[in-house]
Amino acid sequence: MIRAILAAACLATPACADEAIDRAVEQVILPAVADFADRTEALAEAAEADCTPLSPVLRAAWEGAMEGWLMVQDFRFGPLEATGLREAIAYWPDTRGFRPRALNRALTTATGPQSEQDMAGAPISLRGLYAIEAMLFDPRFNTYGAGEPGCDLVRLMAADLAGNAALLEEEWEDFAPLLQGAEAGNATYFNAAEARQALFTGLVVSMQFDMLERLGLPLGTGGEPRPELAESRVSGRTLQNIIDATRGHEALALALTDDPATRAELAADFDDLRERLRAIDDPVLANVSEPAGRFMVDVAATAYTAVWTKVNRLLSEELGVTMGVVGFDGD
Amino acid sequence: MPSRRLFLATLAASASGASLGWAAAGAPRFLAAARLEDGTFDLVGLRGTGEAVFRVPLPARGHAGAGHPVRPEAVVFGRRPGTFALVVDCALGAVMHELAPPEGSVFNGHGSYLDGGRLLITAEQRTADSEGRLGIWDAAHGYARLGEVPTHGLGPHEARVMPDGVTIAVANGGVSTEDGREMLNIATMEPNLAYLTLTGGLEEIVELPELRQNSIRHLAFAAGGVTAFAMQWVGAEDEAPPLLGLHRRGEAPVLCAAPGAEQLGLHNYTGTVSTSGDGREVGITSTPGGVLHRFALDGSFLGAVARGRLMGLAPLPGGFLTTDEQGGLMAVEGGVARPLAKHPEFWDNHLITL
Repeated sequence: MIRAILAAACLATPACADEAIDRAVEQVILPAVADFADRTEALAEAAEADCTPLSPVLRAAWEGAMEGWLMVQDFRFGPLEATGLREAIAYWPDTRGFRPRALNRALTTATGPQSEQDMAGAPISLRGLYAIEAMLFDPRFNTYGAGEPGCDLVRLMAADLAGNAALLEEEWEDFAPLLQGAEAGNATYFNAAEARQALFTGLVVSMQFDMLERLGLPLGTGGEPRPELAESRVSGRTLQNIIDATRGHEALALALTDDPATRAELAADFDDLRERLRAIDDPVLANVSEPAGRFMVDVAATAYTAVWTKVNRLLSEELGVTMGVVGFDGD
Repeated sequence: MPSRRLFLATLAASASGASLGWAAAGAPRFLAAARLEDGTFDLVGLRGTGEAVFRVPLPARGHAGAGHPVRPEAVVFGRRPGTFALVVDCALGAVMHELAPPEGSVFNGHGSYLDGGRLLITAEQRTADSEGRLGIWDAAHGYARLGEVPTHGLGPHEARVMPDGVTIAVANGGVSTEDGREMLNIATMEPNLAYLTLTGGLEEIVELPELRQNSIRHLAFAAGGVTAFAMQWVGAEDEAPPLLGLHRRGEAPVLCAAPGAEQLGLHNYTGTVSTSGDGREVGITSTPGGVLHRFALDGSFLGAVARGRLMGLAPLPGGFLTTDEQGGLMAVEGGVARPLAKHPEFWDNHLITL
C-alpha cells in the first residue's frame, strides 16, 4: 500500500524519476544495445577477413551476434518498433518460405543487392541475422567459395546488420531520455506509467514469442508437429536460442523490480526454466515428431507458461500496469 | 432489447437539438469511437484541445463514422463485416436509428453525408461476391433506404464526398472476403480508387498495376485537388512498398514512402490518412508500428512521430490531432508532438472531423 501511494505521488510530479525505468534503461537496455552493436561489428569484420561459410571464425562471430540479439529483442518499443529495425535485423518466422526464394533469386540472377544501398532496399528476408545464418549453415546456400557471389552477399549482409545495430544504438541514445523522462511535454510517453507499461509489455510479449513461435511452431497445432519450422535449425541453435532468450527476459524482469524477494524468486524460476529447457536435450527439437520427444518439449512449454504467468502477475502488481491492448485487429 | 427499441421509437419522434446544431452537444470538432476498460463502448465528442464534451454509450464496437453537417447527429459503423450502423443523437446522448444493410450485403465500416446532410452514403459489399455498392439513405426523412449504386470494385472500404460536394471517391480495397474477414483472392486482387457520382456513374478509375496487392483503404482530400489514399500491403510480407498515394484527377498517382528502414516501421499497415490543418501535409498512421509518417504534397517524406498504438488522425490548425489505444490525444505541429489529454478510452481506428 505504501508503495502504491508513493507511485501515485511520483506520477503527480513530472520531474520525479522512476527507478524501475532507470534501472532497465541504464543497467540492461543501453549496455545490451551497445554490446549488440559491438558483436555485429565483429561479425562484419570477420566476413571481410574470410567470408567462406565454413570459416570457424565467421560462424562464431555470427553466433555471437545472435546471442547479442537475444539480449536486445525484448525492447520491442521505440527504435526497434517505429523504425522497423526489428524486421531488418531479425525477420523470423518465415513460415511461407520467402527467405529461400529471395536467396535463390539473389544468388542466381543479377538482381541481388550489389551495394550497401541496394541492401537497405532489399526484402527483409535477405537481411539480418537469419539471412546470414542461411548463407553460413543452410546446405542449399553454403556451398560458395571465396570470390563467388555468395561471398559478396554475406559481406553485404553483415555490413548491413552492423549498420542497423549501430543505428539502433544511436537511436536509443535519443530515445532513452524520452523513456526515462516521461513528464509534461513528452508526447511519446505522457507519464511514467506509460513508459513502465511499454517495458512490461515488451517483456511479456517477448516471452509469449518464445512460447508461441520458438516452441509453438515446431510443436505444431492439432497434433501435427512441424519440426521443419524450428528457428535456427540449420545452425543447430533452436534450443540454445530459447535458453539465451530467457537470459534477456530475466535481465529485464529483475531490473523492473527492486523487491529483493521478488528478484530472488524470479531468478530462481528462470534458472529452473533453463534447466527444464536443457533437459529437452534435442538441439533442434527434431524429436517433436516422436511421442517421447514431444513430451519433453510439452513439459518445458508448460514450465515456461508458469514462469510467464508469474512474471506477468508479480511485475504487473509491482509496476501498477497491465499488458494493455495486444492482438491488434485493424481495418 | 425490446425496451431499447421502444426507447429508440420515442427518441425518433423528438428530434432533439435540431435548431441548436452541434452546439447542443457541446460544440465538439471531432468524434471518435472507443472501447472502455470494462469492455463497453462509447462515442466521444472532442475539442481540438483534447477535451471531451460528450460521451454516448454504444451497444457495440464502433469503427468509423460520419458527423451530420448540421444536426448534432452522427452515424457510427461497426467493423467489417458490419451488420449495423447506428445513428446517434449526440445532444440527447442516445441511439436514434439502427440501420441494417440490405439482405445479402454488409457495411464495410465507412460512410459519408452529402447534399447538405440530406443524404447518407454507406460503403457496402455483397456477401456473395464482394462486389462494392454505395448504399444511399434519406437522412432527411428517418434514414429510409433510397437505393444503391456500384462502386466499380471489390471490397470498398472508405467512401467520401469530395470538396466539390458531388463527386464521391471510393477506396475499393480489392479484397474478396465474402461474409467474413479472411482474404480469399490475394493472388488476383485488383484494388482501385474510383471517382463516381450518384447520378452519372463512373468518372475515373485509378489502379496500381505494379502493386496489385496494395489494398486501397482510406481517403483524405488535400489542397489543389489532391486525393490522398492510404493502403495496406497484403502481398509478400518481406517487402515494404509505398503505402500512400497522392492523386490529381487525370494524372498518374504519386506513390510515397519513407526512406530506408523507416518504411518498415509501418509494418505494411496504415490505419488512417489525413491532411494537416493547413492543407500542406498528408499524414498516415500505423498502429502496429506506433508511428505517424508525414509527407509534403509533392510526395516527399517530412518525418515520423512515434507514439505507441497510434490510431486516429485528423487536421488541426497547423498540423494534426492524433488518438491512440493508450487513451491519448496529441497535437503534431510542424512535426513536433505535444500531449493534449489522456482519457479512459482505448480509441478505435478513426477520428472523425465535424
